[in-house]
Amino acid sequence: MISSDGLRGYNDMIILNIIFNKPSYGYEISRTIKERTSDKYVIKETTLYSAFTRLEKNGYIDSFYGNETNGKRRTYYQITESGKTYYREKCKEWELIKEVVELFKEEYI
Amino acid sequence: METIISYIESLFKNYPDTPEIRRARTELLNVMEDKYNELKSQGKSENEVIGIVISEFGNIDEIAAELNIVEKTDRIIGSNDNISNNINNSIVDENEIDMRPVVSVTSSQAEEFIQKRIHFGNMIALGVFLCIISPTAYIILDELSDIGIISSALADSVGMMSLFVVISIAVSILIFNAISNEKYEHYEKEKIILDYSTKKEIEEQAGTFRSVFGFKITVGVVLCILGVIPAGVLDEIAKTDFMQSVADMSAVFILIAVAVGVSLFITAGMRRDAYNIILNKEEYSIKKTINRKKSERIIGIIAVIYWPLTLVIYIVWSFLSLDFGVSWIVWPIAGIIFGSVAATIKLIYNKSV
Repeated sequence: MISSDGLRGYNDMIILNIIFNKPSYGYEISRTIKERTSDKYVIKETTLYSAFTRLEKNGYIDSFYGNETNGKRRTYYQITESGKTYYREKCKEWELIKEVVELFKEEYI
Repeated sequence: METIISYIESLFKNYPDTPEIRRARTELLNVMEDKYNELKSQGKSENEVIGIVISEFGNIDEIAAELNIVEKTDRIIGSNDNISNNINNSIVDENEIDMRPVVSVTSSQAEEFIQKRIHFGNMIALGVFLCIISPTAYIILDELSDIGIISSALADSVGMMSLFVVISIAVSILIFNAISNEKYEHYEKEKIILDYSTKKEIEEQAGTFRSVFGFKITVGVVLCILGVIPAGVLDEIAKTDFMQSVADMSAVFILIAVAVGVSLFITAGMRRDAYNIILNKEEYSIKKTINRKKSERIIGIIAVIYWPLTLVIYIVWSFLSLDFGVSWIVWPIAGIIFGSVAATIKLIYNKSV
């Protein structure tokens, strides 16, 4: 199980991936992360919320209130154009990191 | 769910009530509620669900860091009374909050500070004393030349020279000591922690000094008031020309009396300040520091306008009347007015505690 710290810097990318094609809300996003990684990465809710705040501050996502059936106002997040650009940059960065770190990974250690 | 709500409330307790914090709290509560409901619908027990939800919650500091908000600090150590000073360290103008650092001071450091402050006070008093009596020689010489004992040229030149020499000595003393005192100024900007015995000792000293303080101030005021009397009396009883000249010279008495009085004010005030600073009392206490800073700021702004203006008035008057022996009076009057205005401002701000 990875700690929230381990993927610092990539939480943004993960969130943007999930909402790339369709907006989503807090719990759905956190559940998606948990399920897709088969419990290998369970993100803390506060980490998630900080990421939302940061992403919104930087203009990569927008938030809006959706009206639920039970009358509760739920905050939805959707990606912006600059968010999509940022996401693609992060993907490229990850490829680069993978390549570099791989150079220092040995089977026998 | 109640347990979860209380848990989250307790985590947010020490954070200031800003819109961002409120929004975060609401969002997080919503998410936790969603999670709770879904886990319950999966058939898990209440305890299990609460456990999972809380363990997956995380740390409020993360959010606070993102929003640049800092927890309220609970207690400022450094006063023997057990009041808990709840200082709110959040994102507000520094002049609204007492954000002074807390500093631990040893017995010898405290002693040193007080001694140096007292010495500083004495030196400032000396400088001011010299400033006030600087025209004395000039006044006397001027009178003597009026009576004809010495030539007016001599009177003017020697008189002026003495005036400027004394003032330069005074100003050098003031500047030199102000600079030497700079390294002790930081105490004014700190919350001081003293060990119990040192604190008690200094409090005792301050207590005994209180009566001396009152005495000095009283004598100072009396001197300032009485200093005027010789002038009035002599003027009345002056029958001969010689006596009249002596009467005219009595401006000198006023100057000396006022100079001594003011020196008393200064030394007494500085010593009282020293005790207040090291004990964080009165205007250096936590509650009053904010007001003090505000009033100091305003007084500073007034000073920047007031003194240059006074200088202009003095110079213009002096060169128009060509009588420096009269125009000097601008300075003591300006000083007194300024002092009263400053004191009034401080009083107004201190009342609003």
